[in-house]
Amino acid sequence: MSDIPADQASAPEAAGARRDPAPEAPVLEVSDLTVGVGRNDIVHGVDFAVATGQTLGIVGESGSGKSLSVLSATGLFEAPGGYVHGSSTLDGEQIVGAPAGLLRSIHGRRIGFVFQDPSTSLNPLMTLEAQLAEGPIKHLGISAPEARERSLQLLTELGLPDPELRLGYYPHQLSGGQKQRVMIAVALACEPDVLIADEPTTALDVTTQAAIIDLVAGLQRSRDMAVVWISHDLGVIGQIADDIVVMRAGEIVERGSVADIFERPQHEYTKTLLAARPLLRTQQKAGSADAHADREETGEPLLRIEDLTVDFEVSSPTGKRTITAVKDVSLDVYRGRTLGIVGESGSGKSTIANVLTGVVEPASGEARMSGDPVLRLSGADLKTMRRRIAMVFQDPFAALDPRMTVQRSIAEPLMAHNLLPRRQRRQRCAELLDQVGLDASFIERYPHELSGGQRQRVCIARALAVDPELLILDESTASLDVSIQAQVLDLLAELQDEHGFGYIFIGHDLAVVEQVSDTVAVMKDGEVVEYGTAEQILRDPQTDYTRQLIDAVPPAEPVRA
Amino acid sequence: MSDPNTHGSSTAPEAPDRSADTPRSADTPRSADNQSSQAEQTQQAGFFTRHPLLTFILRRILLTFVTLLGVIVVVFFLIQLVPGDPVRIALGTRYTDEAYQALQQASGLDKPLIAQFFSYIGSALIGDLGVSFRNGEPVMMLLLERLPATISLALCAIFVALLIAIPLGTIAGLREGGVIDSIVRVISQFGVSIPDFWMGMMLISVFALGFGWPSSGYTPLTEDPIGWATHMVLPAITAGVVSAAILTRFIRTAVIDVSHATFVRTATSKGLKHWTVLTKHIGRNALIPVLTISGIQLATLLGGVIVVEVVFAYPGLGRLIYDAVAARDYPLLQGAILLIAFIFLTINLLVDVLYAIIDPRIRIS
Repeated sequence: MSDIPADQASAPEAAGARRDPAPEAPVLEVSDLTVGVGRNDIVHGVDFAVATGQTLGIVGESGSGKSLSVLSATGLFEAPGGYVHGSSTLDGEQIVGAPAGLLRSIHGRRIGFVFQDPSTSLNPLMTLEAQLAEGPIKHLGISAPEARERSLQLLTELGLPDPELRLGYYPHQLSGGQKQRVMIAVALACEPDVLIADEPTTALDVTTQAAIIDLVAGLQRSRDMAVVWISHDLGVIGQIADDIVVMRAGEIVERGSVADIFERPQHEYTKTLLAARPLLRTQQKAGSADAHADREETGEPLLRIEDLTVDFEVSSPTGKRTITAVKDVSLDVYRGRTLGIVGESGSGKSTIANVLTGVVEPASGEARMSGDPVLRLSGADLKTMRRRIAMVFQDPFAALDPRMTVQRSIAEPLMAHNLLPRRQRRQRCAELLDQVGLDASFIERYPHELSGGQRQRVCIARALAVDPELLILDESTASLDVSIQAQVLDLLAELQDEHGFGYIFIGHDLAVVEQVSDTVAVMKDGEVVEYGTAEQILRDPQTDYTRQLIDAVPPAEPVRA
Repeated sequence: MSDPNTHGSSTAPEAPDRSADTPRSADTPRSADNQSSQAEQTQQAGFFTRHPLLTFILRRILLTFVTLLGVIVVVFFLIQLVPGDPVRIALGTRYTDEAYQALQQASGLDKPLIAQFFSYIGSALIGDLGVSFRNGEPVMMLLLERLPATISLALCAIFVALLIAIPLGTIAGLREGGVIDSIVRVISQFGVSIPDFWMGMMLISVFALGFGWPSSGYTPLTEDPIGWATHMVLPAITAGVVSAAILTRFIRTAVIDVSHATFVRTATSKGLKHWTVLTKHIGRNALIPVLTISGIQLATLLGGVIVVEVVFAYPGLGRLIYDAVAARDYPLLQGAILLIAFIFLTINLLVDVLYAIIDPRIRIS
C-alpha cells in the first residue's frame, strides 16, 4: 500500500462526489483485507468500496489476487489452510469471520454472483427452473409456483427467447451466451443489493460479451444495485465501471474514476494495461497505425484454398444427421503475410485448420501449398505436409504434456520427423527458445513451472521446430491475459518478419485479428461472408455481421454502457 | 497404412467433439437458438426423436444382444483350444469304446465343428446349455439351482459395501487432505490389501466360534427368513468389505472432482443449506462415476466370489465353477461362463439406463 499516494487513495470518494451531489454511503466496504493460504499472503491488505447504483471495476492479470480479494470480502473463499484478515462490511455488517449461517443468509439474498465460465457454472443435471427457484424458495420463503412465475419474469427481462419453454431445459441445451444470461438470472433471483461479476464475459464471443455488458448495465439502472466487475481487460471495464481499482501481485497499484485511469494513468502497470487493449486500427491514434498498409500481395500465394466444404456426421443417441461446418470457402495465404479468420463459436473457422492439418477430411474442394496438394493425403505425403504446416492451439495449458520437460516437448516433432541427431537437439531447442524470447534455463522445466504466456511461447517454439512454411494460430492468444496477449502478438510479428512464414490467424475478436492480419475473412455459419484486406473490411464493412463485430470492440475512449 | 498418422480420416466424425473441448466453441452452429429448424427436425425424424430415452434403451438392448452373441462365439472356440479329448476325460476310468461312442454321440461331439457351433448357438439361445459330464444333469438346471444363493449374497454384499463406502468416501472427499481423509484412506488401503479368505477366517473365529453364529451353508429366504439372514451375515460382510474398500476410493475421488466444479460454487453462492448443496448438487453429479464402478462390483459379486464361498461352504455359483474346473466338466464351465457374461451385460445395461435417467445430456440429445 505504501506506493499509493494519499490523494489517489481518496479518489473513489471524489469521483462519486462528482457524479452525484449527495453520494450514498458504500454498501460494500472493504478495508485492509489480507488473504492467504498456509503461510503465504496472496492479497496484501487491500481497500475498496462500492456504493448503491455504482460499478467498481477491478482489473489485473491472472494471479493478481483480484478474484480472491472479492470472494474473500464476500465470504465465499474457502480453502484448506486459507485465512482472511481485515474487514469487509455489507451495510455495516461484518462479513470477515462471520458465522456460516449469516453468510448463507447473505449469499444469494443480498449478494449475487456470476462466474467466468457459463458452461461449467450451472449444474448439468438440473433444469433451469430448478436452479433458478432454489434461491428464492430458500431466502424469500415463496412456493414453487410463485418461484416459477418469478423465474419466468426474470428470463423474459434478460432477453432469453421463449422463456416458458426454456425453463424446462437443461444447461447443455443452451448456447454459451444464453447460459450466462441464466447465470445472471440466478444471481439476481432474490434482488440482491450487490452483484459480483467475476470475469463474466471472458469465456464468451465478443458480440455476446457486448450484449452481456449492455444487459448488466441496464439491470443495474433498473434495480439500483452495486456491481463489482472483475476483468483482466481494461477495455471491458471501461464500458461498465464508474470507478476502477488496478491490482497487481495482491496489491492495489492504482485507483480512480474511469476518466482518471484512462486519461491520466499514473502507474506504469496501468499504462501497460491500457496499451495492451486490443483496438481496431481505426480506433488508434493517427501515426501509430499501420505498418501493414503498404504491403501488397504479389506473386503466387503460399497456400490456396478453393471451394472447401466440410460435412460432419453427428451421431446422437437418436440417429445420425449431417452438418455442413464449412461451405464453399476459398482463401489465399501469402508468404510473409497473415490471413485472419474471424467469427464466433461454431462458425467453422477451426474446422478449416483441422482440414489443413489432415485431422478432418473435407467433403469437397482443394488446397494447394506452392502447387502441392494439401488435402486427402496419407503416409509419407501427409507426414511431409505436417512438417510444412504447423499449428499453435488455444490453450497452452492443455497443449503441453505435463510430464514432459520443455526440451522434450520441443524436440518431439524433431524426433517424429527424424530431423536432427540426438546430440544437436538440445542446441536446437535452446535456439528455438531464444527465438521466442525465453532463455536456455527453461530447457529442463516442466509446464507447471511456467506462466500462461511462457507456455504459449514454448508451444510456438515447438511449432517452429520443424521449419514450417505456414503457421496456423488457432485462437492462440485467446486464453491469455490482454497484457500477455500483446507480447505474444509482438513476438509473432517479429518471427514473421524474420522468417517469412505465412500465418493463418484464427480468432473471435476482430480487434485482435485485424491488428495482426493483412487480409481478413469474416465467417458466419460455415461461410465466408466477407473477405478482403483488413483496411477494406474495417473502413467499409459490407455485411451487418461485420458491423456487429466492429461495434462489439470496446471503444478506445471509455463509454459507459 | 504403416504410418500411424493415416488414422486421420477415421477420426473425422468425432471432430465436433474435439472442438467442443475449447470453451469458446462449446456450441454447434445450430444450437438450441434455432426454433424453426428444431421443429422441422422433430417432424422429419418422427418416433426416434420424440422418444430419445426409449430409443437409447432399445439401442443398448440391441448392443447387449450382439455382445452376448460375441461371447458365445468366443467361449465356444476357447473351449476347443483346451488340450485333451473331453469325452475321454469325462469317462476317465470307465472308458470303453462303446461308452466313448455313446457319450460322443449324445453330446454331439462327433459332428463337424461348424455344425457343433451352430447347434450350440441355437440351443444356447433357447436356454439349453447341454448336460454336465459329471452327473448328466442339464447345465441350465445346475446353474439356476445355485443362482438364488449367489444373488442373495451379491445383493447383501453390495449393500454392506455401499453402507460403508458412501459415508466414508463422502466425508473423506469433502475433507480432502484432512485428518479424517487420511484415516479413511489408510482404512481403505487395508481393506483392499486384506485377503478375503483371511478376513472370512477371522470373522468365523470371532463370531462363529465365539458367539455361535452359523458359519457355513445357506438357507433359502422363502423357507426360513431368519436362518437366511444369519447364514448371510458373515459371508456378506467378508465379500462386502473388499468391495467397500474399492468403492470408498471411487466415491472419494468422485466427490472431490465434483465439489471442485464451478456449479458447486454457484450453489454455495446462492446461500443454500450445506445439506442441499451436498445432496442436490454434489451428490447427484458424483453418482454418475460411482454408478459405473458399483455396477462392475455387483456384477463381479454375482459371478460368484469363489474364495468366500469356499471358506463359508456356501453353495453359490463360485463353488460350482470351482468344482467344474476341478472335474473338467466343460459343458458346465461353458454354461457358467455364459451365465456370468449374461449377468455382466444385464447389469451394464441397467447402469446405462440409470445413466440416461440421471443425466439429461444422454437423455436429451
